Amino acid sequence: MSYDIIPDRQDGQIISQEWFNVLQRTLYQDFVPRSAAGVVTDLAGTLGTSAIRFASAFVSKMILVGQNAVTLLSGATSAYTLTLPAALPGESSPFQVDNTGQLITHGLQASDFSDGFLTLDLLQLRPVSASAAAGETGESSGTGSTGFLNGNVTVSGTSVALVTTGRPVRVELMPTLGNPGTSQLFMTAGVVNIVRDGTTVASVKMPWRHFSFLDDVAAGSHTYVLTITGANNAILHYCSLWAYET
Amino acid sequence: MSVGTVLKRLAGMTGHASWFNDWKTALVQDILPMDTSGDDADLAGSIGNSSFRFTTAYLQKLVLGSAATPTTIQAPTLAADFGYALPSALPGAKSTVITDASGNISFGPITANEIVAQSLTQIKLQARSVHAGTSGDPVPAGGIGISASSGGGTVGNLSVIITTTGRPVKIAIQPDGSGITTWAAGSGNVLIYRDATALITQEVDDGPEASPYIRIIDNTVAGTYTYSVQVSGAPCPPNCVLAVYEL
Repeated sequence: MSYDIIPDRQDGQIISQEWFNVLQRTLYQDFVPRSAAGVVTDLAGTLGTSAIRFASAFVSKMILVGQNAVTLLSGATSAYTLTLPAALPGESSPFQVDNTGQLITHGLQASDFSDGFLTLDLLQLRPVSASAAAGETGESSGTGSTGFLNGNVTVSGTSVALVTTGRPVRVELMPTLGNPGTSQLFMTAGVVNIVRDGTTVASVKMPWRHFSFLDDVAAGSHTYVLTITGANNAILHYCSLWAYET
Repeated sequence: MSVGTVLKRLAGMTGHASWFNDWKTALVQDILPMDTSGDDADLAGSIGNSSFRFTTAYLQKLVLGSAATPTTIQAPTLAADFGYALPSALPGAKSTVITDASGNISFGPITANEIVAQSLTQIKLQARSVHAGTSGDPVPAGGIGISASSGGGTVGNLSVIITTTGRPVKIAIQPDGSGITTWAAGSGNVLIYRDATALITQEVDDGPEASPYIRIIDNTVAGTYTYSVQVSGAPCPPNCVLAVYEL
């Protein structure tokens, strides 16, 4: 580059060799902006305009200098292309570069994750409630002290609602938490049933302290409850029905 | 554009039309770098320098590097203008670059709605290691605790120290694989404790409720806990272990 001022020429002036050589020095090596007066000046001009653009700039490195600098430098050992996405993402999305060098935004998929990298603490918690949302854990309110149950009964305190995503659902009858009283499950005759949305999905003859069943059911909102058919002096003290996706 | 040499002039030389036309050629269409002799030369100079900058380069395409291994940045094909503005500060740590619906770029952790539904397969979950749950081998977060066997009736073996993340905790008294277990005689209770708190009391007897295999789910906050078992009314049955893990 040169710091020469490129002077205006007037009719009748003698054009000395220096005038020509100013032009030559202006154009070789570093090329810098000049003001309308021909003086080297920071930010005095642009390369092309919005209407008159260069088709390409073939450079080894581009440095965009503002308050700080951004450097664009080719680092690939083989040719690759970074093309900005042709459309804005619909929502907040990560940036990725695909194997053709395309700069893309998209939701993360299984292939974007390495195998076996998600630890349990990265998974959403599974809150417990009697009406569990997808991913949560369902627990019924508990049977309390039932007294003797006879005949065909729906066991109070065993209803649990669960929204599922399509994974198998584990349904379990277990002692009620909090040690409210001694958990007992006893009957001399009858059958204990797990009923999903009015349909019996599992039955077992008693006595049977714990009842565990894996229900293969489609995604949806389901309600599980325990019933006893043909009960004879059955007791189901301080038991709760749990339901959660596996 | 110039593909040749822009020659120096000396006093007394005749200014031929070709020399002036070289200047025109050099300044129209493609502008190429030239060395100090006025010859086109690869990497012979820069456009601007760190002190004298152009305000804006209006380009359709930017090609970096060599023709053999170029990196190309091309203008988007959106109907309307949009720009990508880099964040004004670096992230505090290694972070993912995220763009929003306005084209703004930011750094941040991945949120759940950025993961395609049902894309995370079981194989993406870290394997769950098994520990004895003793003070020398406590169960870390995500691990599974299986205590020593109740063996000769020592209930103290049925104890597991575990660190949890806040998910429900499954606690099960289950077979150790060495043989059948049963309540010895009479009736009694099996209690499962979290630290000093009794979570449940389960009646057992030597009749229809003879099996001591019990399981519960504990709903508690994240922390480090010791789950243990006590029995009353009869000795602890043999051949049992205490298994503890988060759902």
